[in-house]
Amino acid sequence: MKSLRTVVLGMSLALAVLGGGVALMQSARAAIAPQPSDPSPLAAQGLLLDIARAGARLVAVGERGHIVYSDDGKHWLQARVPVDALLTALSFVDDRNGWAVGHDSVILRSRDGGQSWQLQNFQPEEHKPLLDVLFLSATEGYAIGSFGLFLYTQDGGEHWRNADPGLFAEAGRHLNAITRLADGRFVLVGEAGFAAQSEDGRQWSALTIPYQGSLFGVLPFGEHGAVAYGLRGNVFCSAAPGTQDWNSVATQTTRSIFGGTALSAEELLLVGADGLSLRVAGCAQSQAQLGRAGEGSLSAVVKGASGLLVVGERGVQALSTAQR
Amino acid sequence: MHSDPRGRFSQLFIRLTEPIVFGRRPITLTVIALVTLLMAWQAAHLRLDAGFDKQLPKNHPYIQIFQKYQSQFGGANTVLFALVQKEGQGDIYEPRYLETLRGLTKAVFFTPGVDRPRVSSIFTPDVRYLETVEDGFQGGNVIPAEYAPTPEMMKQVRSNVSKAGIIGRLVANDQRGAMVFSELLESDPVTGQRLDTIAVAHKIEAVRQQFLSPTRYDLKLRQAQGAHAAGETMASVYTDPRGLWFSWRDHEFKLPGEEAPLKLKGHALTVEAVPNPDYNPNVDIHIAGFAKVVGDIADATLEVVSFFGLTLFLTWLVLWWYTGSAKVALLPLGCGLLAVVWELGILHMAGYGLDPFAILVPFLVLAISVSHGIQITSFWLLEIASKGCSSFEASRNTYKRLVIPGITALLTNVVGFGTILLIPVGIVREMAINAMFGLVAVIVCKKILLPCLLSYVKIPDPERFRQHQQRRDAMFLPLWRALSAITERPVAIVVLLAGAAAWAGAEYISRDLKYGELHAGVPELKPDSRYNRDSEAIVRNFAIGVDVIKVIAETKANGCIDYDTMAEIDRFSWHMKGIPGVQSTISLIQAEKSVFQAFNEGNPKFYTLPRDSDGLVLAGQQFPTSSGLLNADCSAIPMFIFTRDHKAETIDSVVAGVNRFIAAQKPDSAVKLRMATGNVGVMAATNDTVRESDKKVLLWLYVCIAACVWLSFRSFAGLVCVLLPLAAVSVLTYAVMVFLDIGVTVSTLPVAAFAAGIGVDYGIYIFSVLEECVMERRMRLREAYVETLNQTGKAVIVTALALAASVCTWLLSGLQFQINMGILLTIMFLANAVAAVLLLPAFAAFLLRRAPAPMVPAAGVSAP
Repeated sequence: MKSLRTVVLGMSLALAVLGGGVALMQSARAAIAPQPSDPSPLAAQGLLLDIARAGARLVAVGERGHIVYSDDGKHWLQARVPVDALLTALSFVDDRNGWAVGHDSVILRSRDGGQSWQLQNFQPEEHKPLLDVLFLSATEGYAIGSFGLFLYTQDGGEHWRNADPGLFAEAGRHLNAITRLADGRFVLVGEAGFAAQSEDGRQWSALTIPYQGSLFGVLPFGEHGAVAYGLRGNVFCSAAPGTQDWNSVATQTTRSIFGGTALSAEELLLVGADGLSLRVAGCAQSQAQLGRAGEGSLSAVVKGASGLLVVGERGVQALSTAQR
Repeated sequence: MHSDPRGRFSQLFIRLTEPIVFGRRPITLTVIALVTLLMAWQAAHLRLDAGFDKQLPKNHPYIQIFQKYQSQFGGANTVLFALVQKEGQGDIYEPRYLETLRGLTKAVFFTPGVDRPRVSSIFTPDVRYLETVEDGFQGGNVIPAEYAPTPEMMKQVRSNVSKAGIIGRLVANDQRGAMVFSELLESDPVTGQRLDTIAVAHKIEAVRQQFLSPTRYDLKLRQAQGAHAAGETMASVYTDPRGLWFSWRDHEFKLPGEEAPLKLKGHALTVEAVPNPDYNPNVDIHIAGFAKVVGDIADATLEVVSFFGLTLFLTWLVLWWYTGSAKVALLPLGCGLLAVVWELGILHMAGYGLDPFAILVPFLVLAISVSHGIQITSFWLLEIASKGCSSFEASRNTYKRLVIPGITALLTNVVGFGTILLIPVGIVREMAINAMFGLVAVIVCKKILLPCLLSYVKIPDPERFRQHQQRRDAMFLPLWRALSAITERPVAIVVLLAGAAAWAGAEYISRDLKYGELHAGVPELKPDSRYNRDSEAIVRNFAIGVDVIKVIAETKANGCIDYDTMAEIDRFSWHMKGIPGVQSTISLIQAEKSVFQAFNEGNPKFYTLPRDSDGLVLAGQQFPTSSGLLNADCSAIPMFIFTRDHKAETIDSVVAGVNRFIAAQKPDSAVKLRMATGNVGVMAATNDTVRESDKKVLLWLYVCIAACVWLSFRSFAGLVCVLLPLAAVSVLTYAVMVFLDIGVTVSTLPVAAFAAGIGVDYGIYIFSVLEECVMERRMRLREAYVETLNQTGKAVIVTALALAASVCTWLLSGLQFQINMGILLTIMFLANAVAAVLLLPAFAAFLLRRAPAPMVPAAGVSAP
């Protein structure tokens, strides 16, 4: 059984190499077989790192290859997933098509709204985790990760190629998050204050954010603006990245911020370590409101049909109403 | 021949021993008195001896793993102090609470027996927080050195606690309580003496009182003592020391700077009650740990000893009613007491201490010895009442008639108790040996001393005494006549069918019988005892508890830098987290993941095991062997699985969960999971052992009893008539256990053996008389049974009452296992009597035939 699986894997990798031409460098050994994720009654209560909407459905990813989905935000089912790596991010473009990425350079694809997943990429020998994924359509998408890893696909993830214009490898920083602003431009943030922007997703230029610590995420804000957040309660805001400066938003916390979502066109909700929640309503100093969104470290937040849901080290939690 | 005094050996035995006992009664009595003095002196030196080691089922594979890793992963004798805010109070971040916590930490630190460097709370310097900052890490003590009770400081402590990641361990989940961890030293580092667990437990309790008692009691010198002036405070205690014996008791004061402790009688001291400055009415302190359990058990055990007096009194009342003379009643009772003294004396001479578990053995010895005393006294009374013998003659006749059946019955008991030795748990074997010593004592005290003493009894008014006996006999006669109807076959069929139905019903119910503890909390103590409420509160408020099973992952050397090995252990950890009954798991894996995340700026997207061994080395090197998370060459990694409680079903669920994972592992897996250490691991092994031993013990018990009964009667009828009622009661007891939620444990398993071993006496006495009446005196069965009941029935009833009286006082015990044993033994002693009286004649109706008419009496018996 084991040898058969290795053979099948080897063949599929070989096909990927032949068909992909310029696909990522494959390890000739292909010694490590992907281990399917075990079904677990606790999947929705374990560490979850990202959550997204697939139409009306909610899908979340996390440790041990756990992917859980729910149509009501209360009852969660565990998807069948062919790897058990820590999954870090996911992106859905409609109610069916979505991608998830994670450690071991894992890229997974679902065509049925998150119930089943196919492995598109698995390179454990590289020791390069993928940290974020962004799909623009059912065919076009980005996956980014550690040490400047920047992948691009035009065929729904059948083939991925290294689309680094040189900037990212040169910086050698972890790329933590990528987003598309309201006006169609892209912003990407990473380790040690690294940030970049692009008009079309191909040509990238570095951005200067007045901060040396890591930025864990970035969200579109307003017509042209963006809000980046990260280590030790640092939040920066720019009305138009590239042309306008980044302002530091006073948050009155030193807890790190790991995720966020737009509550409305004017207001963002950020979440982070030790149940942190932070409402950001503008680029000025006084416009951040500190609160508590749940128990434990929180990684992401999403607006569901019945309200806001957060995910983190204790799985899915409905956003606690006791907002301070 | 059990009940036949005419057997050749028996006659020889009696011919030889009778002159020794009765020839020179003063010498007999003097020798016994001297031995008793020796025994009493020995018994006075007996000590309570609660050991952890002898509770282990040594042969079980889990225990072998336990012993293999004990030195590496403890064995840690931990005591937890949880200081929690009472309902209505806020969280811990307020000056008064923190002040009490600081005081508690200090008090624990200075408690003798505590390993000071390992005391840990948010006030100790080993508890630090670490946070990622832009250029690396930043850390500090959770309570800063410049701590002052200001609002800003409260804020900072709150923030530090959150950064330190100690919520669930040192701070309660809801942050309304905090923990002081401590570990006890196994031996005193200065004197090398073994830790006196019970003494430490009392000091631990004193620490609690220091903060919960509104009053402090200062012990001051009445007069100057050496270097100490009059009025000097020698010590402060937090419970009122003044009791009945205060003035005459020795009080020891170990003062700093003085070598020898100062010993003073209470009357050299004055006690002054002052308001306690450490008192905090807003808090409560929960304490958990093995030492505290032992202390509480020892305290409750002493309480049980006081029940012994009550037991004696109840038994005396039963005997008085039976003999019609308070004075005569004292004799069997006094002999029973002597048997207990002998038993304890022999126990100490054999080098044992009295374990709280075995505290019931003296009660049993009293019960057995009273039961035999009743038979002897009963026969003696009959000789006096119906034959008009003198006290001396009656005693001699009693000795001749009963010494052989009595000793046989006692040997049957010995064999019955001996089967308990099959349970490979030290504490149970000790109990069996202890009980056997008791039986030896009973043989001497009852069979020799009692007849000897009875011969001296002066009956002042023999006629009145006789009348009392006859009056009492007449009172029972209608009952005996009614019961004798059972010997008529139609009635017998009904009784047997009813018996069979009860048996079948009991068998059906007892399918739900569980092995192990069925209640949360420490099984030895009552569910609502202070200790169990304490540990329940700790489990509720903290992520860790007191119930833990540790599974050791054995792998190759340096296994913790091999990704596949670590990943397998990680999968195991997660698998166990999903098992019902598991509260949380902790192992090196989680610790390493946290470190890897910390090295990646605390980003949760890196909460995973690095695949390269460099990363694993980096993450793993943070943990020394002393952390208890790995051994020296990292070939053994323990997984701490905290369970919700230690009920049988929880343990079964967890063990089954581990076995499921092991079964699904690849056969060539580098990780071998070994169960188990930790208290729940030991319990799992014990439950297993009890489950295995249960059937074996019962089988051998019945084989042995059957052999003894066969030797006594040499008849199939005897076997059936005696054994089947006994077996029916055993099954019934299982049903009762299901009904009362009592599991089969180390403490209840021996009960079956004890009860059957003692209960068989009823059947033996009844059947021997019945057989004699039918076979030799050639009476009709029904009349024979009336005669039998007239001779033995009242003795059976009184014996059952006396036995029940001697164990029912355990229901008042503060220890749960004694309550359970008390319930079961009381029920079994009574049920065995009822079963013997009702079922035995029903069987006899079909099995016992009168011998053919012209037979020479006794011929049918003496032909083997």
